[in-house]
Amino acid sequence: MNEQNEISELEELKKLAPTLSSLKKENHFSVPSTYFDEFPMALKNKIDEQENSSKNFSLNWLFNYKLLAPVGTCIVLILSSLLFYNPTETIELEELTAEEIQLSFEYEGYHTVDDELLAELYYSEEAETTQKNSTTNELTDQEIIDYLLEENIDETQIYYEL
Amino acid sequence: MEEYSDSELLKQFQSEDSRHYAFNTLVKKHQEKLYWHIRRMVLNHDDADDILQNTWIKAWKGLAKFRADANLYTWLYRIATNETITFLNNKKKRFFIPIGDVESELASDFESDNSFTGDEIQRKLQQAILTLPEKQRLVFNMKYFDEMKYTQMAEVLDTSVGALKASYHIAVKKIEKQLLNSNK
Repeated sequence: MNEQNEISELEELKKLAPTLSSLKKENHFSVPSTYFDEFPMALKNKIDEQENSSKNFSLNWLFNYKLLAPVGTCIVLILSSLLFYNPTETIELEELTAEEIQLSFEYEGYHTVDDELLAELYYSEEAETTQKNSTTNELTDQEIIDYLLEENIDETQIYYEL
Repeated sequence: MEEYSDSELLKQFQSEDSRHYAFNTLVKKHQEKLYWHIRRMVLNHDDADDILQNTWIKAWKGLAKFRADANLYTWLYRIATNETITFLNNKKKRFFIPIGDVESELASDFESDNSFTGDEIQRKLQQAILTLPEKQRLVFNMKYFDEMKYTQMAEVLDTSVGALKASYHIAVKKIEKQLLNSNK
């Protein structure tokens, strides 16, 4: 069956292309004389080389100059961010006295304190002191009279209102 | 040297101990046919050598998964053909050659090729083959020089037998015309 096919194909070629079919099918390209003897060994060496390089890849990538720049940049960025990063120390202002706050500003300038809270604290301390003074020190009669004269308040008016 | 069949060598390849021996035997057995298949397409020996090495490296990597019931030679031929087409496509890209003009580039290389030892009519045949488009040239070489069956060619090129017959018929007519014109 196969032979018949081949014969019919040859016949077809003769009819279709008589010039082409009259040519001998010879190979006219030359190749180095020992090429096919040496090829299997050359191929084996290339395969071994590729397999070794793929095995060594896990260690070699560390020394790969293409990776060196991005890896180095990442390390520098991480180190510098650790060096300059200072987590802000939060201090409850209520726990500090005005004097401590003052000292912290003078000597430890890195504490961050909210201005409004600081003013509030100063105000509350002052108010506390005034309250203490007002409760502990009673006014003398003369002081009361002086105050009334100063404010131009009539004595009888006070009695009347009381 | 004892002549093993492809299926026997494939069995030996599965075993770690005989893997290298089996592969080496397969290379020795098929290298020449594959080389000439590649060489006729790229013409240059060094290019053919590179492509043949790449073909066998791919075969080495894929042979462990190769199905024993499939035809090994057809599979090797297919790898070689794909590698050759990839090489020619890369050549087009590398030298900014317009699609279809790689053949005229090869024809000019062939003019200065000293490794061709054929007479005038053989030289004219090669020049006529180089006027064919890449796929047609591939079909012509496989049928005319390698004397492959259409069914085998269909497996290698992933095309129908009918399409291959038509392609070969057109290629033969073109070459005949070229040969007749060159004789005038």
